[in-house]
Amino acid sequence: MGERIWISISRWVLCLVGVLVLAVVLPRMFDMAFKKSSPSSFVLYSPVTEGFLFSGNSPEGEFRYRDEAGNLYDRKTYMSLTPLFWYRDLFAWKIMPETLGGVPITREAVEAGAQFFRYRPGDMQREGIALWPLLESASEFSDLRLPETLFWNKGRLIFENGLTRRRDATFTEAVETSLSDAGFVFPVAAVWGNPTTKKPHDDGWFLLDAEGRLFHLKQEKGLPICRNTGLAPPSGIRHVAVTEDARKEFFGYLITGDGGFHVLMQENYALVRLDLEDFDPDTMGLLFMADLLGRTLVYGDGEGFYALRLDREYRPLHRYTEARFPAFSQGTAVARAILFPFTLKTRASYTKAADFALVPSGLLSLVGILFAFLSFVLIRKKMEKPLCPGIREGVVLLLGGLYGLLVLCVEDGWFRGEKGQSRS
Amino acid sequence: MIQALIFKEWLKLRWALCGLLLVGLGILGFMAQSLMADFASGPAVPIWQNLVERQVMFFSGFKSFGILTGLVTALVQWLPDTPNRGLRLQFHLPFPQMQGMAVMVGCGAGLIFVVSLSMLGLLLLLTRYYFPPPVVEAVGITMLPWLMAGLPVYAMSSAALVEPHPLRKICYAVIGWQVAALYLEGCGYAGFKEVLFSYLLLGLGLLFAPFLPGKRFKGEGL
Repeated sequence: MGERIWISISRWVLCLVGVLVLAVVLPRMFDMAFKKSSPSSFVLYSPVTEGFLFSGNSPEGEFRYRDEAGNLYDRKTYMSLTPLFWYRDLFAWKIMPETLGGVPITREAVEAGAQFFRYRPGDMQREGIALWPLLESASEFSDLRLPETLFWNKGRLIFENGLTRRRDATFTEAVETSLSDAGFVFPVAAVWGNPTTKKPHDDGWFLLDAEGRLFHLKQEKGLPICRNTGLAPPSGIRHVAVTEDARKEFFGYLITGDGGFHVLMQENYALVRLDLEDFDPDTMGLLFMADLLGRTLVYGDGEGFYALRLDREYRPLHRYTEARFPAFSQGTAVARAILFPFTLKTRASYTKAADFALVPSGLLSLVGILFAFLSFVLIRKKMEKPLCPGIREGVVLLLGGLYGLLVLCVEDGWFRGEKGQSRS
Repeated sequence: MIQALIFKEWLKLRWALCGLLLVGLGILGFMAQSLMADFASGPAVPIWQNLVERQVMFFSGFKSFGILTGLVTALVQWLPDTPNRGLRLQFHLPFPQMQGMAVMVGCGAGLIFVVSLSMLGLLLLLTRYYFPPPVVEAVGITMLPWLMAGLPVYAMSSAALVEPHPLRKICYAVIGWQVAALYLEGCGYAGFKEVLFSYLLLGLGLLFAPFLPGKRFKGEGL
């Protein structure tokens, strides 16, 4: 390789890496200086006013309790309007209504009707260590205990014994037979479940077979039991989460390939699709709150949130949508787009995983790139150097805008103010 | 001539190689002793489960090992040659200058690969003795970017040491530090799985960085 090629590659590498580093560092510094935290409200449904109530900081930083119309409440009034959430206080104050919507209200009934779970877009992306326990679901003990084996998926489920630290061929075979007997077609495409022992009971694992059908695997009295759920949505299954709540109304939730959010009922593995308008499981988080009288779902992303009230049969009763306050003011957002033609994203959006992606800032960045070109020409003119940028300089300025200008300033020695030196 | 250059690099790097291997083996030994004590105290499943649920990294002692490898290699390789202009003498040998530089960078990178891969191999063997294959796989993927951080540190430290201008020296050092920080960002187990190749390419690409400063070092004002 000729000497000039080594030098040329080295120069390109130094410039491009300089641009990439600036595309990480400068936007982070800008965000630290100008990004405002977008206040999010906690949303509850009021069976008293039959509307949603919100608690949280206003953009001015003041903590407020308000309703959909913007009426403000004091804390105690707010709590009395959402009695099924603040029931402990209301019972203590002896102001809990005797009936709500015609349903008698007792402390036991309120406690038995409550369930919460949260979905985050990162839940669909697997990370970490894929090693799980198949817990005993029909244990005679009150608490759940870790088994002697853990398993993982290599197209078939493989169990390794923790005492011998060897593969448990007998149990691996027994699980495989159980799956085959239920009509499971190998290889195992996906495994979903809740591996913790800190839960009221165990509902086992859901497995996706090679034909896109969902199977349910449990361990009962030491034996693997597999059932075909009969579920095989045409759009496919993207994610299943097992929530395991003492209410035992449903196993958890299921997201299909078309973005549908379903509750997977305990009874006959029935799927109930929730009527979530504009829900995008790839970008939106969701909070599910069940109470004695119905279900509340709050979902959204950085731009806005949606609230939906369902009755106990999962029929919509009431909806509300609100935009969030943007993290940047309009002027700051424009300045950011002009200054930084792109940012280098090194962290995934919804998980802890690493990323390496260029995120363009949009058409406004062309203004910044034009400014960088003009500055380049002016500097070159002052230094009495050729005004027309070379290929490397052109590419670095075109891609990097301000980043490129800074990199060329250092790499080409403009800081030394040498005049008349030819471009290399 | 290439063999002579490689021998010259070997004379400089051999003690660094021994030192880094010893440090790595020391970390591994400490880790092995700690694992042995943990597994001797009871069944393995709760330890496995703890590792999976809490994302405990028993090998976190290696997190800075890649950076150490890159930095030590660069210092040992370039420091003796830069203050007394030994590198400039080499550039006047009857041998293509940049090819000579490539041999030097290749030797430095080779040392980083040898040290990193041997530590990775030994760590995976140790892990497999105590843990099932998914843990071994996750440990390997988690450890790789930590070790790969040695490449940008080595490349940019070399560039900073060889570069004659102080401002560029500082810039190269800052770039190396920032790029290395990307490899070490806390991501939990196997957080780099999807982007490992991109980061490897970045690290390998950066090995070209010292050539331009080398040319400047020779005094050809580029």
